[in-house]
Amino acid sequence: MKHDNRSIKKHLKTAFDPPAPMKKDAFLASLNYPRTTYFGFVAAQVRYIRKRIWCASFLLVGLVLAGLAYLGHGNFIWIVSAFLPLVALAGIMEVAKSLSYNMAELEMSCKYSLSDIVLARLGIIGAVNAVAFIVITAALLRGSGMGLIPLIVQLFTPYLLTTTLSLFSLNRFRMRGTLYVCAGVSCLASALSAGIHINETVLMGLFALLLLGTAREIIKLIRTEDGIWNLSLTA
Amino acid sequence: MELILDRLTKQYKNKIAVDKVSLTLGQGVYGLLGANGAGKTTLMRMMCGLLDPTGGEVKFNGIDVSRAEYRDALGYMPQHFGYYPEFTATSFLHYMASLKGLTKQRSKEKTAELLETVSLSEVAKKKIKTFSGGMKQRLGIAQSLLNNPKILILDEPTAGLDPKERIKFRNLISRLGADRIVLLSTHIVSDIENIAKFVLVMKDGQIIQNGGVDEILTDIRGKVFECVVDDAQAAELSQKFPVVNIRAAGPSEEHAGKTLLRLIASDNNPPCENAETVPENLDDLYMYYFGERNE
Repeated sequence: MKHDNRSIKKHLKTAFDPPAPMKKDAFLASLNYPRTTYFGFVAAQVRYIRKRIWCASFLLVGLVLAGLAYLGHGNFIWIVSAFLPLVALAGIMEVAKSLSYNMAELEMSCKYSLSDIVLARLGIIGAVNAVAFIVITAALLRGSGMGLIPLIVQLFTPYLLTTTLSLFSLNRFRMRGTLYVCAGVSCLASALSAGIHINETVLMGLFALLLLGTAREIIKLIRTEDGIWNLSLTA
Repeated sequence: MELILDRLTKQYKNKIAVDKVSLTLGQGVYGLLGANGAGKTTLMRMMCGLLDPTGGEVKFNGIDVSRAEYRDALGYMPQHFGYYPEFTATSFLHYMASLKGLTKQRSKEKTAELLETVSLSEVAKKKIKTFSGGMKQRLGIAQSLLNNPKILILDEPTAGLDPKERIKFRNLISRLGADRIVLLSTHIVSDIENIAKFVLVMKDGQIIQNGGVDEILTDIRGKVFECVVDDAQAAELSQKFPVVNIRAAGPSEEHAGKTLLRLIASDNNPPCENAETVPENLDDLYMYYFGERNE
């Protein structure tokens, strides 16, 4: 009996053509496909960070380790300190690349809008820089004879000067020309760190001020990102 | 499915770019027609949540334009858009898919499908900077469709496409309009004539006409004339009326050396003795609202 059923089914398949699918496209279009999570979105952005950012961080760590091996400590800290504004500049250029390449309008229209994208880029670049900074600080601390706080202040004040002034400019003037201002600021910070020696107490005060300034400008950048692009779209 | 614009306004200092526009858009293709500076792009940007309105609101099925759920249902192609220099067609679409919240697997499938749809499969791995204007335009259309949007807003999508590509694009838009809201602006009147179910005519920030093609053409019914005149009369008439077409009249002896004018009179009175009324089209309507006399 079972065998007969199978045989009938088999013959039925060959006897009739299956009907053509009706409204298949409409049916497929109506399906809700799974969407990525916010974490998935941030993770996906890692692929779109330009190689130069990774290179700058690796180069920084490599230079510090090589410098320590061949030059010893001596005047080496100010060289690293002068190099850091360029690392900051690379990061800022990456965060603001929507402006440089006229992608802002498209990105703003997506589910994860420009403020989400900027936040993701800041997070990724910040994390990469943080790892590099921890490695170089630890490496320079050993045998430098300096305390941790004075070393951090001396190393990162030019970096923070670049981030504060560049983000301040970007938050107020959304034009491609602003990126040249950022480049100028980083060169200035780099030159200042190499050429000017400031009293340690003043430097510490400046460091604290710039740290707060950077934090303030980052919050402003994320909060007002879409609103400020509004202004740039009216041009 | 309903997209509602309620007294939508955008004002820049002394200039009102969009003036209290109220519309309810349902499923279908809408053509937005207007001269440069009429406020089309500003209106579209507000509908995409890119510009904050000075007044009024935009809602899709009750969801406000400022919310991520609204953008999740939106596909937008701006008039001008850029790309990161390292992008190929595929990586550009993957990037846009990541911003639209598609999973990696879905992004791969949709990218392949859309590159096929816009005939870019063969150059999928090539850098965008090597693309022609038309190819970039097709890529822009593809990215707008990645999330299978319920609202599709296209700002001058056919600019830069050759006639064959334009026809293909028109057919694609017609198909897409079957189950979503499509709004497209263009200067190419024939595109709207061929695919739009409804036409919105915009002038000085306001929607001055809104309806089906036949419906809005009733405004100029009986006002479109063709006449054969000599050069002096042609010059005189083109100072008085908006001229849609002007060409040599024809090879016959009777018309030798004369000019055929197609023009729009402000009322139903013939502009000259031998003028005959002809069936009106959207080009005539465009000239009626936006044409200038040769003063």
